[in-house]
Amino acid sequence: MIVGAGYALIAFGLFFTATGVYSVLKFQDFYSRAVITSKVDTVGFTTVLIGAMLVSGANFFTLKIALILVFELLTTPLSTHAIAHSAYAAGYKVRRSGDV
Amino acid sequence: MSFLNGVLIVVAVLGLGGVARVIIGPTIWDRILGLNLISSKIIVAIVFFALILEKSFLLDIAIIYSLIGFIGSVLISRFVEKKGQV
Amino acid sequence: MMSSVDNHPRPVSLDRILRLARVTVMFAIIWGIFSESFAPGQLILGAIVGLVTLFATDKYILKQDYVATYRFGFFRAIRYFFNLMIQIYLAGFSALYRIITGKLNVDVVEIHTELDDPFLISLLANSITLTPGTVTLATEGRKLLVIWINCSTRDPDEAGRIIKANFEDLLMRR
Repeated sequence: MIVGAGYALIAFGLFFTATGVYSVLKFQDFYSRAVITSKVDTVGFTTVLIGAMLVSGANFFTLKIALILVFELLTTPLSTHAIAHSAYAAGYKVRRSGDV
Repeated sequence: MSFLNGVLIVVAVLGLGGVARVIIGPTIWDRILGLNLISSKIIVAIVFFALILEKSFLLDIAIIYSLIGFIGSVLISRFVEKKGQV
Repeated sequence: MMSSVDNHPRPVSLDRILRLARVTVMFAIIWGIFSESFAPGQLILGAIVGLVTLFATDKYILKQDYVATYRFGFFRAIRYFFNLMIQIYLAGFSALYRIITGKLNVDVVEIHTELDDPFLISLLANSITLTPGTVTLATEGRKLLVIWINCSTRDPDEAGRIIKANFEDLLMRR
């Protein structure tokens, strides 16, 4: 039962991650790529790892995955911010009138 | 073929999307973004590989990989931002 | 620059000892997870390594006192974390909607914050980066530059109210 719920969560998270990869290939503007992809990828990553925790059951494996999850939640926004700040400081302009 | 093996294949295909962005990306920041995407896919792949083999020490590799990926992307973007003077 | 030993005052009080003990217990638990056993010997070893790390960080890296730098209560951290998780999932679904419809209006806006502690400001910037459609670009004192994917207004106060949501209130309360 719990393992089944874990499989469902993994499939859901993989769907989110696939949307993130699709969006990084689709959008033309760098800023929109950075913003959308970081969000969707974080949600997909979190959901997939929670599913893996449910599949694994209650042991040290689950606790280690939880540690990876917390660490990734802390660092993903930082690296996205570093990339966006680097682009902004180098003078990358925002493209107006939302073209996709 | 079990469900977890299928997950590994799907994650590998999604990683190829990140590789495509690294190859075609017009600016250097697009390439760093693609690198970020690939490293998160690799972490998920290592976790599922450890889950299939039921060896929990493989997760230590995932932790180290997430550390190195974070430091790498921050360092490259700071290097580009300061034009070579970190 | 990093290796200079600074001699900021380290008062010895019950409150300070309690806070350091709490951080040491947390380090010991993380050590136990890494070594995959909660045997007493492992926990004691983890506590010793944690204490050494704590004092080395305090003496060589931080500019001011460790306890004064990271003032963040345990229960407030848990409540903040749950709020953050809800916001992350809302962000994911709104981003999904934008990917499908392709409606984007990207712009850079400037907002102000009431917080004065640098640690709390960076925590707020981190949460803004995780919530719907915004990434923090740069911070200067109390000003934050934010990329907003669905820009409806360029007024700092109006934009700040929409972007910051309830994070600032949660961080203000001690």
